[in-house]
Amino acid sequence: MRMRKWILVVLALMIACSFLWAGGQGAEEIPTIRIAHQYKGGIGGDFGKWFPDALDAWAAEHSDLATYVQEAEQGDNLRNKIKLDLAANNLPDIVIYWSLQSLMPMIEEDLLADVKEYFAESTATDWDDYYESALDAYKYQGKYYAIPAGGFKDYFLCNRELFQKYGLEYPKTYEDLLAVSKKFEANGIIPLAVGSKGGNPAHFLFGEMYYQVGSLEYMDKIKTGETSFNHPLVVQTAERVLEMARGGVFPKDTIGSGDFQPAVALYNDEKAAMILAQTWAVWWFKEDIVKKSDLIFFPKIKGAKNDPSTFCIGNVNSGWIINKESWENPAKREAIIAVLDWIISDEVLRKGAESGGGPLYKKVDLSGTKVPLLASMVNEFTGGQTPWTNLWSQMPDPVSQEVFSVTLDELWAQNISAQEFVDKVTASIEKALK
Amino acid sequence: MKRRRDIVFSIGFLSPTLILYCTFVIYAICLAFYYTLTDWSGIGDKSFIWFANYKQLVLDPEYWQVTKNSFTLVLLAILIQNPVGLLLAFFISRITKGYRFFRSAIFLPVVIPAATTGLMFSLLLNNDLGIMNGFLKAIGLGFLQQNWLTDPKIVIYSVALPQVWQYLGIHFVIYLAAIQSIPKEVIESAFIDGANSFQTFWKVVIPLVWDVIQIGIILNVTGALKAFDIAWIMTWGGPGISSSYISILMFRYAVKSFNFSYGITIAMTILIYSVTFTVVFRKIFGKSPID
Repeated sequence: MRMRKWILVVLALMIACSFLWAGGQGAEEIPTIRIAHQYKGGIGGDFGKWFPDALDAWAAEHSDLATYVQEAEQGDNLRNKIKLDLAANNLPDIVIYWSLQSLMPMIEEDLLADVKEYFAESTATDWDDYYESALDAYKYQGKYYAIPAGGFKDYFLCNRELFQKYGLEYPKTYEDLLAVSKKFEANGIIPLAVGSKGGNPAHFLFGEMYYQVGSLEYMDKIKTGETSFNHPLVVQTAERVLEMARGGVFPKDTIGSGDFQPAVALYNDEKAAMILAQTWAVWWFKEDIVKKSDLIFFPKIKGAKNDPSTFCIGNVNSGWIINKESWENPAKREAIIAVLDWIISDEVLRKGAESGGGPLYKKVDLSGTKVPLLASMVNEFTGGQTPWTNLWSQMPDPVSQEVFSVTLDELWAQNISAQEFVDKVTASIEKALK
Repeated sequence: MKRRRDIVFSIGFLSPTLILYCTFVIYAICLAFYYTLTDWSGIGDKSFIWFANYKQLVLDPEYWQVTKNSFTLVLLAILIQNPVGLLLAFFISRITKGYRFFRSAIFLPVVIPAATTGLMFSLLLNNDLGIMNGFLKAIGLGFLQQNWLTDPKIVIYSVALPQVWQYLGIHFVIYLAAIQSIPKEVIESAFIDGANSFQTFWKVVIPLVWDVIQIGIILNVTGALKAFDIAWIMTWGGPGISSSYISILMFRYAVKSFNFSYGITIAMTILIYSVTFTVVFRKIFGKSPID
């Protein structure tokens, strides 16, 4: 019995030692580089399916530099994940993230490296390879906090067959839009597939309508407090949204049919006659539906100061950020440079363009690159339009972005008045700026 | 000597669980409480602000709205899951044919992922695509058609009832086990003495499973106060906060809005409500009806 007890003790000690030894082996000499991105599932179309495997293959070839680990989440889930990582003091080494305003909490805590330093050390990519306006989208107090990765433009698509079926013309004016919507609604067709769930995709339509009567310069100053969101033209825009909602322009269920993919699903199923979509949604549209669709300019409001044919909602909305602590770690720097060189290489960016990704901010030769039909239609149609920043990106901080988004849900559902909407958003902006 | 060896033996076996419990529950709660006394966005340093977060909470009308929503769910859960679960358990315990089938069928919704349930009901109740309004119209109840997911007066019920439906099965199996543990002779004696089914259920079964009913009610309260997933999938807690629970508001502040300390303060109230309810409830209703 005693002998058996001693055998068990020795066995337990051996197992414990083997665990310790294995753990000791984990303390490798080569660093681990964590890359967080959103190319998972439906995001990014074919590029989204290609990128993770291609990165794994590249990482396998460069395993002498580092162990590269991908952390992929779609859309808002990535944003939530990064916020939790930040709270755990565990920001990944390289992350694709949203606009400059979204980066402000990280910038204020000095967590991000100046990407100009990356360009200075990279032998594969040059600062001048990028368009200056795109780089400036991430410029703050003289430093550049992200390498522009993606952007978007919005576009207004109409189902030609549905319009022909009901003997309607494409709406050129706001009044035309209300009129055709009445006819569609009477026949059980959703006129315009723009609901609001978490503010999506409602805030794009709000921006399209506001900028016709207001100005980009005015909205740009919201985040510094020089101008106020509480302006008669903003209230007027909100009132028009309510008029459209009452007039049956939007889906009846603005929440259930809100968000980007449900809106495209309604359009694909020909349950909606029109849609205001964005370039990242290009790969969700069915090709046969695209072939019977036409692009038009957003209907013009009477007395509009800015013609909607001259602008669209769009901006640089994603960029690759570098964890400053990782960048300043000599063991990681070379590995970070190497993987970023690959991620923003012409080869990878061409692959993104082939999938119909948004405008490119690097000067890449795309001759011979075949893009999806809708992407080429949008590129051609919006070529003459200047992209103006969406209103969500104009909010000064994540709190006011969130309040703006959820309050749009209430506006779309006709649960609040135009002034109440403006007051709520203004209050959150003022609180953010205090 | 033997007693000391027994104590050492017991401590040895209990200590891994105790260590895990202290680390992941007690320590986590203490750390969370500490965060509620700070002003922390989730990044960078924390500044100590004592009970300012709690003061902000008390004065926050959004918080009281979502608390009302959470207690609406609690009430629905108590009033539906317990009586229905108990009745179903009583009936199923009395049948012999199809017993396994009914038991599995009633429990089936519990094993469906919450995300699937949320998606299923959001499609069902969608005014544009869902069948609910169409069905009501088809059976001549068109006047009952609603904006299930956008009307702020009813959206809370639209997200709460799927949750109540999904977890009804848990109460059913708990009550089924409790009823099946009642000696058959007790039930048979009641019938022999002339009691009908209702009288047997009310005057014999319920008193005998009263302890289990208390557990069921406590599970209702603690579970409903933590509810998040179905409402989030269906409506993201909107429009506005009309279908938000306490946990959704916590998520909005802590994760979406970079205000971790206030978000954790909101989460703390879930713990406070759960513990307070459990203690008070047991004190008031802890005495068995048989006693």
